[in-house]
Amino acid sequence: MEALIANLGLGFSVALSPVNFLYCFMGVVLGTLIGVLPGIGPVATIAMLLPVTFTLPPISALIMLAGIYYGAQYGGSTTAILVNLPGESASAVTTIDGYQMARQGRAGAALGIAAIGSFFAGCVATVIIALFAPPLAEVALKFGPAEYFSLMVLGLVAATVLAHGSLIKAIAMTILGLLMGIVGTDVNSGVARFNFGVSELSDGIGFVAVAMGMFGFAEIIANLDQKENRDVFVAKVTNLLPTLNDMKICAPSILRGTILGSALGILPGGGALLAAFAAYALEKKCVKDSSQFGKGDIRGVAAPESANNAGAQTSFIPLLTLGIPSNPVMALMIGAMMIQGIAPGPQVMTERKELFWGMIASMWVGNLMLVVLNLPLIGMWVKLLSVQYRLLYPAILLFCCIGVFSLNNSNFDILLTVAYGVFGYICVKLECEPAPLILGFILGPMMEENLRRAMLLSRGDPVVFFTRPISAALLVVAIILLLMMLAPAFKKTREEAFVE
Amino acid sequence: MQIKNGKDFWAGLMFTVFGLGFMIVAINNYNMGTAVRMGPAYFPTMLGGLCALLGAFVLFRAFVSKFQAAIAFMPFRWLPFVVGIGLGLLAYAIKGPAGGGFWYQIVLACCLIALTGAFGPPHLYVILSAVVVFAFVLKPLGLYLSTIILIIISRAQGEDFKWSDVPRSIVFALVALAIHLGVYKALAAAIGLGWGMTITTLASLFATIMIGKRMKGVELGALAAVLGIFAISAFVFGLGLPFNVCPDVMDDVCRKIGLGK
Repeated sequence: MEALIANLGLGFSVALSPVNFLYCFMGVVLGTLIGVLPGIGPVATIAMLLPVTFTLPPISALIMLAGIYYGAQYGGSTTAILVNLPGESASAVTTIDGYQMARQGRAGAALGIAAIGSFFAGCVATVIIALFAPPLAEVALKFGPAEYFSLMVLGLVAATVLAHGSLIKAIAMTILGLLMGIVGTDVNSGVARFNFGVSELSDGIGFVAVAMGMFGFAEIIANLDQKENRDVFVAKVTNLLPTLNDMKICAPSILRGTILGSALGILPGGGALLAAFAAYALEKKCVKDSSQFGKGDIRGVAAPESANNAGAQTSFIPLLTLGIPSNPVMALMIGAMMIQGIAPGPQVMTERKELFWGMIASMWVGNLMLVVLNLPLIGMWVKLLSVQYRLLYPAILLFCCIGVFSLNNSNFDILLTVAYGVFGYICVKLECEPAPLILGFILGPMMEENLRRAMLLSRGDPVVFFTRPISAALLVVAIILLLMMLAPAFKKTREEAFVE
Repeated sequence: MQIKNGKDFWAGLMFTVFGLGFMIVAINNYNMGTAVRMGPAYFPTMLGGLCALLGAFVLFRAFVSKFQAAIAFMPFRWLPFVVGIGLGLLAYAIKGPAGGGFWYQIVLACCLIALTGAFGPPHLYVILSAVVVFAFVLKPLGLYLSTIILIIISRAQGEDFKWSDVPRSIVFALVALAIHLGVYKALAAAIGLGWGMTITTLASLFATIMIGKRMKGVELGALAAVLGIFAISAFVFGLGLPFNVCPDVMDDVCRKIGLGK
């Protein structure tokens, strides 16, 4: 306990140093600013703003990126509530009741409860990370290649479970992602694979190009498919603080959402998306009178918003302790860490103490900033939302292009992004989800590496994955998840959850 | 046999082709190795096989599915597709061993623009060709002019777009940049580079938005000017990212006033 307090003290001294405080602030503001733009989710926001952090020292860069993430998440909920246009699937749940509330003239209360719920969830999740990350990292030090491989299998299986639509297509997309991920020079033999003589590809396909193409460009094009017909409730946002009665109704929902979200966020493949959907479903089961859900029930905003913020934050745990990203956002964070010269994994906590604890403390600081910032600034975000999309999308396009170009200072990356934009649009039209592909893409090289090592250690005997206890347990969970997906009852619930 | 679910059909075909493609390339070009010492071909071959298998299953499902979906799931045009492939082959032929020259770049850009025109709705084509053009002009023309080009081409779709506004918009954007650079030069000498840039940028952003709002038909130009000025000051000046600000002819001018690389 004393060690924990000492560590947190160290963390806060890092996070509250003027420079880092300023970067955290900038990250939150920039993240909200971009995240509020309709059709831009956290993944595209982070990918777009990644070059901004290149010139910073590692710890400031990571603190700023984390700030961007919460900001984008919060901005996404604002858009979901006011415009009914979720930037990413995690805030899709918020649109159900949030938008209805806005139509009834209660947009202020919805935004307020979203902020309060997120802040509470953020505080709890910060404590959870501080408590659970160190012991988990100790376990992680015992992980061999077999365990890592099984964990990644579990993560990928979990990611397919929460993809929309057909399970088979989601699995195929994951595998396609793994295949695309291993394009480039093979670390063991030095052979450049699948580059077809293109020298730019010998380092592999740029992750930012893939993410930006599939989540940025494809999203803009898909948004333009629909004719502009948005009602923005600009004039009606007044009275941001929810009433005392609202607070009383929502308190248990926020608590349930936070607990569920924190638990689901830790799972590999989990994170904000799964948390929000699950919390909404749970909330419907838990309350006495669920007839108002879908028609503007404030609990339908409070629970998923707390859950997705808690999940967003606890999904840092697998990243910081195991070095494994559990969702596309974390994959981007890994990319950022590597650019800064930090190898993600359990050793970060022992070797870069100030970085690890500074980041955790900055999470809490960032959440506080979000609440303080958004109460006065909400008018500005609303104003931004009232700008027509026909003027916004060229701007979004420009920032995407600058972001991609500045990674390697080469126009090849922009062209690659265009290709992935077309591919992403085709996938959307074919009802194939891009999220599993992205996750597979980032895990591809790591999985191959660990599979090779595990097989080398076991002299080519694949049974090793089942004889080592931790590895066996992880695989069994993965298999159970897959079987559950095939079971008719669960299949039905999953379909229902996504239909909403 | 009749295809019931067109979306499943194309998705299945896509997975099968990708899977088999990765498998064939891996087997033919790289060393397989053994299970103990896996070669570079081992993992992709396994995954490619799995992907093709799943693809085949989805393909099969398309024929028995209870869901109906049209086989033509999005617009496809043969002419740009064939032209694009042709230009791609031409680009490959003239590339030469030392990488591409000027004409190679032009042909490659045309090939990519034609290929984006083969798929999807018109706005996909317009937006992505704007980005392709941006990618090719960014280095030679510099950030500011490329921004104007990107903004104006990418807006060339939608009902409210008028070609007659474009010349005015371009002039407006260029004038805005000239004023921005001129004022910056004057201020930088007086109060230093950093403050000079900050004040000039804020003032010109404000002025551009205000004037753009009041003048008819320069909406696009105002947008391009605002974004260009913002991008220059934030990315080039603030973050030091290596962008060329102006074309080569203007480089001297820019360097004299302390902008660009």
